Amino acid sequence: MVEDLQEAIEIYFARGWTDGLPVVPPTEASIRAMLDAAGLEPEQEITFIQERQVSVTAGKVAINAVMAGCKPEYMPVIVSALEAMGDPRFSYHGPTTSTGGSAVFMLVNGPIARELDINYGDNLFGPGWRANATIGRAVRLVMRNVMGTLPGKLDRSTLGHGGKYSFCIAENEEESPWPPVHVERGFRPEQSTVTVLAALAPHQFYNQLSHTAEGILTTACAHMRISAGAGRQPQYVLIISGEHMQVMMKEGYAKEDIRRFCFEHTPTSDAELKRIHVIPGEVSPEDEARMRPLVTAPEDFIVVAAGGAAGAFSAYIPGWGSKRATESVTKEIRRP
Amino acid sequence: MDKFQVFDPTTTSKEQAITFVPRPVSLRNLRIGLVENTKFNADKLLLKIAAILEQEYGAQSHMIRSKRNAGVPTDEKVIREIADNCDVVIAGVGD
Repeated sequence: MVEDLQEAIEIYFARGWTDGLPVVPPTEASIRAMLDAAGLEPEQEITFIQERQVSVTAGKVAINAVMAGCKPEYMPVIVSALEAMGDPRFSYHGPTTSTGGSAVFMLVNGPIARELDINYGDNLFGPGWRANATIGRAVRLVMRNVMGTLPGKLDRSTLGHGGKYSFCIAENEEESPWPPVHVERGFRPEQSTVTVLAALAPHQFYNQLSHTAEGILTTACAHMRISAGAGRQPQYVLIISGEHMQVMMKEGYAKEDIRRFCFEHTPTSDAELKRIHVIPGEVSPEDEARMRPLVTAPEDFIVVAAGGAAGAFSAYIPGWGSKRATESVTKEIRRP
Repeated sequence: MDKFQVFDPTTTSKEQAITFVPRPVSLRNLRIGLVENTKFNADKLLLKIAAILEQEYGAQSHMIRSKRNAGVPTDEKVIREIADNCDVVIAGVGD
């Protein structure tokens, strides 16, 4: 027991339990409220991280969620995100330990995103929304405190990025002309889901000169062609923001058109990748014509309608490593 | 002012009992297993080590198998194959 709130906050710092920001000291009541909101008991296992031999239990998740500043109703999102990260397709140990320095990008789809006020608009990756800031933070605190992902130990990131504090957004399902990501992945519109991807930082690109989808995407492809994932073939998230979305909507340009165009316009020759030392070996004459796609298939561009209504900017987010090592996973968010 | 109870947010790993085969006194006539993790140059490094062990330490032979990816555990099939056919194993990280 400690005497007051300030001392409690300092204890959590002193024991190495925070991400560098102050945490909310949990109480019996706040932990219980977190568990009740997801219909869980403390000993229930949310996921098991095989490579770390760590059982992630609901009780520990609830403590970290309170510390992160979450409302209890955020808890089901956090639980589903952790389940997705425990899925063998996500392959937790590689991307979270690697010097490559990925964060866990989280996309929330379905009605829960509106109910929890998860931002999909202005200042998409910036501060200002409690749900975006604290859901991602809670997941990172669980990674740190439960899954052993400590900087300098089992998190060997050379650089890392701001998304490692929190990297959680929703999709603009209200204004988007396109099916949301969860529907594309076989869920019903009224279901809520979270999609996780081990990802590097978002990169924005600017195009206010084109009035066609392909003009905008030509800029996107120029930026992506030699980007962090070049030569490795991870998945990429493509964030299409307001003004660009409007242009595409007028043309009737579908998400599958975006994926196809980007797949066709981002391959790079092996010769170029060798010249810039992204893949090994001497350049041979055949390398000039041997084209390597940026991703393995068009579906590896995950297209998301999000970002502010004003401004001719959109963004791409390179996944970490390669799709062979980790891939995005979508799980339903279940509420009691 | 209420007192605050401190709740530990951490978990420790489950303990794993890992037993190692006794270290051989000599490599003479032993079969070397190599597990490369797909990182650039990992295979070259391991094959050079195997050549040294064969030429200078009398190891009998070597076999090399790959992981699916550097970030995942070695496939059970590869582990079984190495266990059935090798006396010592070397795993390495390239880059």
